Amino acid sequence: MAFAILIVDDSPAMRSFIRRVMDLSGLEVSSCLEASNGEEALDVLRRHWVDAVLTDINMPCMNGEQFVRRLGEDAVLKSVPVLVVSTDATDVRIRRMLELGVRGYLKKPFSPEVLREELERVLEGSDA
Amino acid sequence: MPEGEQEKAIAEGAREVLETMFFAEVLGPAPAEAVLEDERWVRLEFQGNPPGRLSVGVSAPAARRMAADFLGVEDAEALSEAQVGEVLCELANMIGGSILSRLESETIFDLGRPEAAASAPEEAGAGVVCCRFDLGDGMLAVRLAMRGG
Repeated sequence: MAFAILIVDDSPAMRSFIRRVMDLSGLEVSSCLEASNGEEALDVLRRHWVDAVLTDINMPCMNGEQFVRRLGEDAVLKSVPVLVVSTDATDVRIRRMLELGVRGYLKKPFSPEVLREELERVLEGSDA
Repeated sequence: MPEGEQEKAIAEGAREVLETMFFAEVLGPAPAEAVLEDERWVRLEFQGNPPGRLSVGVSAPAARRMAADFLGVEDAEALSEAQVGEVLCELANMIGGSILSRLESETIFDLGRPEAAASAPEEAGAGVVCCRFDLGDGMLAVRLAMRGG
Protein backbone atom coordinates (compact mmCIF):
# COMPACT_ATOMS: atom_id res chain seq x y z
CA MET A 1 0.00 0.00 0.00
CA ALA A 2 1.33 3.43 -0.91
CA PHE A 3 0.84 6.39 1.37
CA ALA A 4 0.29 10.11 0.92
CA ILE A 5 2.48 12.16 3.23
CA LEU A 6 2.65 15.87 4.08
CA ILE A 7 6.00 17.27 5.25
CA VAL A 8 5.79 20.55 7.19
CA ASP A 9 9.11 22.26 7.75
CA ASP A 10 10.34 25.79 7.06
CA SER A 11 13.68 24.47 5.78
CA PRO A 12 13.62 23.44 2.08
CA ALA A 13 16.82 21.48 2.75
CA MET A 14 15.16 19.47 5.52
CA ARG A 15 12.05 18.79 3.42
CA SER A 16 14.31 17.54 0.64
CA PHE A 17 16.27 15.38 3.11
CA ILE A 18 13.11 13.79 4.52
CA ARG A 19 11.83 13.04 1.01
CA ARG A 20 15.14 11.39 0.13
CA VAL A 21 15.24 9.39 3.35
CA MET A 22 11.71 8.13 2.72
CA ASP A 23 12.80 7.04 -0.77
CA LEU A 24 15.89 5.30 0.61
CA SER A 25 13.91 3.57 3.35
CA GLY A 26 11.77 1.78 0.79
CA LEU A 27 8.53 3.15 2.18
CA GLU A 28 5.92 3.25 -0.58
CA VAL A 29 4.83 6.84 -1.00
CA SER A 30 2.17 7.72 -3.57
CA SER A 31 2.41 11.47 -3.05
CA CYS A 32 4.59 13.68 -0.92
CA LEU A 33 3.23 17.16 -0.33
CA GLU A 34 5.11 19.99 1.34
CA ALA A 35 4.34 23.07 3.42
CA SER A 36 6.70 25.55 5.08
CA ASN A 37 4.58 26.32 8.16
CA GLY A 38 1.37 25.32 9.94
CA GLU A 39 -0.78 27.81 8.08
CA GLU A 40 0.28 26.46 4.69
CA ALA A 41 -0.15 22.92 5.99
CA LEU A 42 -3.77 23.57 7.00
CA ASP A 43 -4.43 24.95 3.54
CA VAL A 44 -2.92 21.84 1.92
CA LEU A 45 -4.92 19.52 4.20
CA ARG A 46 -8.19 21.21 3.27
CA ARG A 47 -7.51 20.40 -0.39
CA HIS A 48 -5.73 17.01 -0.21
CA TRP A 49 -6.20 13.77 1.67
CA VAL A 50 -3.01 12.53 3.36
CA ASP A 51 -2.30 9.43 5.45
CA ALA A 52 0.13 11.16 7.80
CA VAL A 53 1.75 14.51 8.55
CA LEU A 54 5.38 14.98 9.54
CA THR A 55 5.84 18.36 11.18
CA ASP A 56 8.63 20.43 12.66
CA ILE A 57 7.93 22.64 15.69
CA ASN A 58 9.97 25.81 15.23
CA MET A 59 8.48 27.52 12.18
CA PRO A 60 7.40 31.08 11.34
CA CYS A 61 3.75 32.20 10.93
CA MET A 62 2.27 29.16 12.67
CA ASN A 63 4.56 26.82 14.57
CA GLY A 64 4.11 23.08 14.98
CA GLU A 65 2.39 23.30 18.35
CA GLN A 66 -0.15 25.86 17.10
CA PHE A 67 -0.67 23.74 13.99
CA VAL A 68 -1.40 20.58 16.00
CA ARG A 69 -3.83 22.53 18.22
CA ARG A 70 -5.68 23.78 15.13
CA LEU A 71 -5.85 20.25 13.73
CA GLY A 72 -7.37 19.05 17.00
CA GLU A 73 -10.08 21.71 16.77
CA ASP A 74 -11.08 20.69 13.24
CA ALA A 75 -13.77 18.01 13.09
CA VAL A 76 -12.45 16.60 9.82
CA LEU A 77 -8.69 17.00 10.24
CA LYS A 78 -8.33 15.92 13.85
CA SER A 79 -8.04 12.25 12.84
CA VAL A 80 -4.98 12.84 10.62
CA PRO A 81 -2.01 11.15 12.32
CA VAL A 82 0.85 13.51 13.13
CA LEU A 83 4.49 12.63 13.67
CA VAL A 84 6.61 15.46 15.09
CA VAL A 85 10.14 15.70 13.68
CA SER A 86 12.05 18.22 15.73
CA THR A 87 15.43 19.20 17.12
CA ASP A 88 13.74 19.94 20.43
CA ALA A 89 13.97 16.74 22.45
CA THR A 90 13.27 18.13 25.90
CA ASP A 91 10.99 16.01 28.07
CA VAL A 92 8.67 18.95 28.62
CA ARG A 93 8.15 19.56 24.91
CA ILE A 94 7.65 15.88 24.06
CA ARG A 95 5.07 15.49 26.84
CA ARG A 96 3.24 18.61 25.75
CA MET A 97 3.01 17.48 22.10
CA LEU A 98 1.89 13.97 23.04
CA GLU A 99 -0.81 15.50 25.26
CA LEU A 100 -1.99 17.45 22.22
CA GLY A 101 -2.55 14.16 20.43
CA VAL A 102 0.44 13.62 18.16
CA ARG A 103 1.08 9.94 17.42
CA GLY A 104 4.84 10.07 17.60
CA TYR A 105 7.84 12.27 18.28
CA LEU A 106 11.03 11.83 16.30
CA LYS A 107 14.08 13.73 17.40
CA LYS A 108 16.50 15.17 14.86
CA PRO A 109 19.04 13.84 14.08
CA PHE A 110 17.52 10.54 12.99
CA SER A 111 18.59 7.68 10.75
CA PRO A 112 16.52 6.53 7.72
CA GLU A 113 15.68 3.30 9.56
CA VAL A 114 14.27 5.13 12.55
CA LEU A 115 12.17 7.43 10.36
CA ARG A 116 10.71 4.44 8.54
CA GLU A 117 9.95 2.57 11.79
CA GLU A 118 8.25 5.58 13.34
CA LEU A 119 6.28 6.39 10.21
CA GLU A 120 5.13 2.79 9.83
CA ARG A 121 4.06 2.71 13.46
CA VAL A 122 2.09 5.93 13.02
CA LEU A 123 0.50 4.69 9.78
CA GLU A 124 -0.45 1.32 11.27
CA GLY A 125 -2.32 3.10 14.02
CA SER A 126 -4.10 5.45 11.64
CA ASP A 127 -7.75 5.27 10.77
CA ALA A 128 -6.97 5.20 7.05
CA MET B 1 26.60 25.95 34.45
CA PRO B 2 30.07 24.33 34.48
CA GLU B 3 32.02 24.79 31.24
CA GLY B 4 32.96 21.11 31.24
CA GLU B 5 29.30 20.18 31.07
CA GLN B 6 28.77 22.52 28.12
CA GLU B 7 31.85 21.20 26.31
CA LYS B 8 30.60 17.64 26.74
CA ALA B 9 27.15 18.58 25.40
CA ILE B 10 28.69 20.36 22.40
CA ALA B 11 30.97 17.42 21.57
CA GLU B 12 28.20 14.82 21.89
CA GLY B 13 25.59 16.95 20.12
CA ALA B 14 27.80 17.92 17.18
CA ARG B 15 29.06 14.37 16.68
CA GLU B 16 25.55 12.92 16.79
CA VAL B 17 24.24 15.35 14.17
CA LEU B 18 27.24 15.09 11.84
CA GLU B 19 27.42 11.33 11.88
CA THR B 20 23.69 10.58 11.71
CA MET B 21 22.45 13.09 9.16
CA PHE B 22 25.49 14.46 7.34
CA PHE B 23 27.38 11.20 6.93
CA ALA B 24 30.47 13.05 8.18
CA GLU B 25 33.08 11.48 10.39
CA VAL B 26 34.41 13.47 13.29
CA LEU B 27 38.07 12.54 13.59
CA GLY B 28 38.42 14.24 16.96
CA PRO B 29 39.11 17.67 18.36
CA ALA B 30 40.89 19.94 15.87
CA PRO B 31 44.57 20.51 16.68
CA ALA B 32 45.11 23.64 18.75
CA GLU B 33 47.22 25.22 15.98
CA ALA B 34 44.59 24.54 13.26
CA VAL B 35 43.09 27.64 11.68
CA LEU B 36 39.55 27.79 10.34
CA GLU B 37 40.11 29.17 6.84
CA ASP B 38 37.65 30.54 4.32
CA GLU B 39 34.90 29.52 6.70
CA ARG B 40 31.15 30.10 6.65
CA TRP B 41 29.33 30.98 9.86
CA VAL B 42 25.73 30.60 10.91
CA ARG B 43 24.34 31.85 14.19
CA LEU B 44 21.10 31.48 16.05
CA GLU B 45 19.68 32.94 19.22
CA PHE B 46 17.78 30.81 21.67
CA GLN B 47 15.41 31.53 24.52
CA GLY B 48 15.46 29.25 27.51
CA ASN B 49 16.93 29.00 30.95
CA PRO B 50 19.46 30.44 30.37
CA PRO B 51 19.06 32.08 26.93
CA GLY B 52 21.99 32.62 24.62
CA ARG B 53 23.50 32.37 21.19
CA LEU B 54 25.03 29.52 19.23
CA SER B 55 27.43 29.99 16.32
CA VAL B 56 28.58 27.27 13.95
CA GLY B 57 31.49 27.73 11.54
CA VAL B 58 32.57 25.29 8.84
CA SER B 59 35.49 25.42 6.40
CA ALA B 60 34.13 26.18 2.92
CA PRO B 61 35.14 22.88 1.22
CA ALA B 62 33.74 20.80 4.09
CA ALA B 63 30.53 22.88 4.06
CA ARG B 64 30.00 22.20 0.35
CA ARG B 65 30.72 18.49 0.72
CA MET B 66 28.38 18.19 3.71
CA ALA B 67 25.62 20.03 1.83
CA ALA B 68 25.98 17.65 -1.12
CA ASP B 69 25.81 14.61 1.17
CA PHE B 70 22.78 15.98 2.99
CA LEU B 71 20.89 16.73 -0.23
CA GLY B 72 22.02 13.59 -2.03
CA VAL B 73 23.77 15.52 -4.80
CA GLU B 74 26.75 13.79 -6.39
CA ASP B 75 28.50 16.88 -7.72
CA ALA B 76 29.09 19.23 -4.80
CA GLU B 77 30.23 21.96 -7.18
CA ALA B 78 26.79 21.98 -8.79
CA LEU B 79 25.24 23.35 -5.61
CA SER B 80 24.48 27.06 -5.39
CA GLU B 81 25.78 29.15 -2.50
CA ALA B 82 22.17 29.52 -1.35
CA GLN B 83 21.73 25.73 -1.16
CA VAL B 84 24.94 25.35 0.84
CA GLY B 85 23.76 28.15 3.13
CA GLU B 86 20.36 26.50 3.67
CA VAL B 87 22.00 23.24 4.68
CA LEU B 88 24.37 25.03 7.06
CA CYS B 89 21.40 26.71 8.70
CA GLU B 90 19.80 23.30 9.18
CA LEU B 91 23.09 21.96 10.56
CA ALA B 92 23.21 24.80 13.11
CA ASN B 93 19.56 24.24 13.98
CA MET B 94 20.11 20.54 14.66
CA ILE B 95 23.35 21.05 16.56
CA GLY B 96 21.63 23.73 18.64
CA GLY B 97 18.69 21.48 19.41
CA SER B 98 20.92 18.56 20.23
CA ILE B 99 23.10 20.59 22.60
CA LEU B 100 20.23 22.36 24.34
CA SER B 101 18.26 19.15 24.75
CA ARG B 102 21.24 17.91 26.75
CA LEU B 103 21.68 21.09 28.78
CA GLU B 104 18.06 22.21 29.27
CA SER B 105 16.11 18.97 29.21
CA GLU B 106 13.76 20.06 31.99
CA THR B 107 12.74 23.36 30.44
CA ILE B 108 11.22 24.48 27.17
CA PHE B 109 13.69 26.32 24.95
CA ASP B 110 12.97 28.10 21.70
CA LEU B 111 15.49 28.15 18.92
CA GLY B 112 15.49 31.24 16.76
CA ARG B 113 15.87 31.15 13.02
CA PRO B 114 19.48 30.39 11.99
CA GLU B 115 21.08 33.15 9.95
CA ALA B 116 24.27 33.34 7.93
CA ALA B 117 26.85 35.56 9.59
CA ALA B 118 29.46 37.55 7.72
CA SER B 119 32.22 36.81 10.18
CA ALA B 120 33.23 34.75 13.19
CA PRO B 121 31.47 35.64 16.45
CA GLU B 122 33.31 38.03 18.72
CA GLU B 123 31.99 36.91 22.10
CA ALA B 124 34.65 35.71 24.48
CA GLY B 125 35.14 35.35 28.17
CA ALA B 126 32.92 33.96 30.90
CA GLY B 127 29.95 31.92 29.69
CA VAL B 128 31.43 31.34 26.23
CA VAL B 129 32.57 27.86 25.27
CA CYS B 130 34.13 27.05 21.90
CA CYS B 131 34.89 23.58 20.55
CA ARG B 132 36.51 22.73 17.22
CA PHE B 133 36.37 19.41 15.43
CA ASP B 134 38.54 17.88 12.73
CA LEU B 135 36.43 16.65 9.79
CA GLY B 136 39.34 15.45 7.67
CA ASP B 137 38.68 17.87 4.80
CA GLY B 138 38.16 20.83 7.08
CA MET B 139 37.05 21.94 10.47
CA LEU B 140 33.82 22.64 12.28
CA ALA B 141 33.67 25.11 15.15
CA VAL B 142 30.81 25.47 17.62
CA ARG B 143 30.65 28.46 19.94
CA LEU B 144 28.05 28.57 22.68
CA ALA B 145 27.42 31.78 24.60
CA MET B 146 24.91 31.41 27.42
CA ARG B 147 23.76 34.59 29.11
CA GLY B 148 24.30 34.32 32.83
CA GLY B 149 25.93 30.94 32.24
